[in-house]
Amino acid sequence: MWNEIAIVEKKGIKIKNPVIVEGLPDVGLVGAIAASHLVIQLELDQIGYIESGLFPPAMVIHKGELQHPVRIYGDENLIVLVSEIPMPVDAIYPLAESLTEWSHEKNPEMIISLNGLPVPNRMDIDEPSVFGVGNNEEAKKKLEEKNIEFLEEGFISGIYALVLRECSKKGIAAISLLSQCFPLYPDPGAAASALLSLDKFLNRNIDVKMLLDQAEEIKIKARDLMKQTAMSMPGMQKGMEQEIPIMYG
Amino acid sequence: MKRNFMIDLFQRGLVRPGWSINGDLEPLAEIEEREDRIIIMVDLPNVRKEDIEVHATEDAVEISAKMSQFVEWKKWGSIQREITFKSFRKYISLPSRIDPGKAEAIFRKGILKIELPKMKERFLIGIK
Repeated sequence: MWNEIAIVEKKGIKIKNPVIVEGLPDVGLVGAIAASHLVIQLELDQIGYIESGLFPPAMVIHKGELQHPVRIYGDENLIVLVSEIPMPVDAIYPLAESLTEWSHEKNPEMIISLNGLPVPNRMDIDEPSVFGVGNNEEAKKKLEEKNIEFLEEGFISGIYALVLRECSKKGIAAISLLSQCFPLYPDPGAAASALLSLDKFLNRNIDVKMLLDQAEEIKIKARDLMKQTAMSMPGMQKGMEQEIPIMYG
Repeated sequence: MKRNFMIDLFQRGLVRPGWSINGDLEPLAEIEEREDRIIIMVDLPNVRKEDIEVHATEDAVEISAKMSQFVEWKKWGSIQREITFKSFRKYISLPSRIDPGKAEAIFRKGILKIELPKMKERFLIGIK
């Protein structure tokens, strides 16, 4: 049991063809910051959590209440996955598989991962650009319709790469939105860009002003999660994302 | 034996918090060593350029910066009381000797970048 992934849902939640957004800690904590902002801004309720013996043995306390660090929020048409702990490399294969299996049961419109794309000159970029990766023709068409530039060449690694792969096997349209970011510092600016691109799919009028206004404070509060996430990155082969694939052209 | 184990954990930063009770935070930082220089990048949110101090010697750099707005946590973690973070402080031992007089730093978008040219210590070795 403890080597498995358990996705636990609250009873009686009505969900219909949702868009499933995944924002797990990764480079620049882009997905984690963006997903947390999404939950706060859209006032989404917690509808479940994920537990596993493959996760760090930790629970989190908020306002005196014990909570699971990997939680699921949502409403009828939107599901958002957030995590306050980095994913250990041993957990990402079974998690990607379980998440895709669980998502498939929900008959989702699509799955969207929010991620960072590390760039060495981030200090010189005012508004990070967002690139998209789609796992099938339907996903790529959706990216084209929303005028999101494709990531044409390169490696992607980590849980979102595996989610794209697993979704391909199940015939689910899946997209990764990759926002230019600092690799090792929390990057709320990159998270804001990712959210603006996400809103082209959600049409929820996501306001990123609060996120940008509180960027400095968020960077301080996300410091420890960034440090832990950075420690797990070598196992995820994150360095590959800045390498050139040999099969070029 | 137990004490040594704990000291080891502290030294490796595994249980040492990145903050101190007097309101100092340890900033996130990365060090890159190149052939001719060492580059240090430090994340300093909530800080103005004029409130940063960088001191360098041949083998170490010390960075301190005052926050323009203090950050407050209430009933936080193990200390169970309010704590206010006011500044960043970081001491970095360098992997090679540098020339502190030629060091340069820029601060943009909350990131401090310090370039430290390495001391030229190359000697031509005669071949018999």
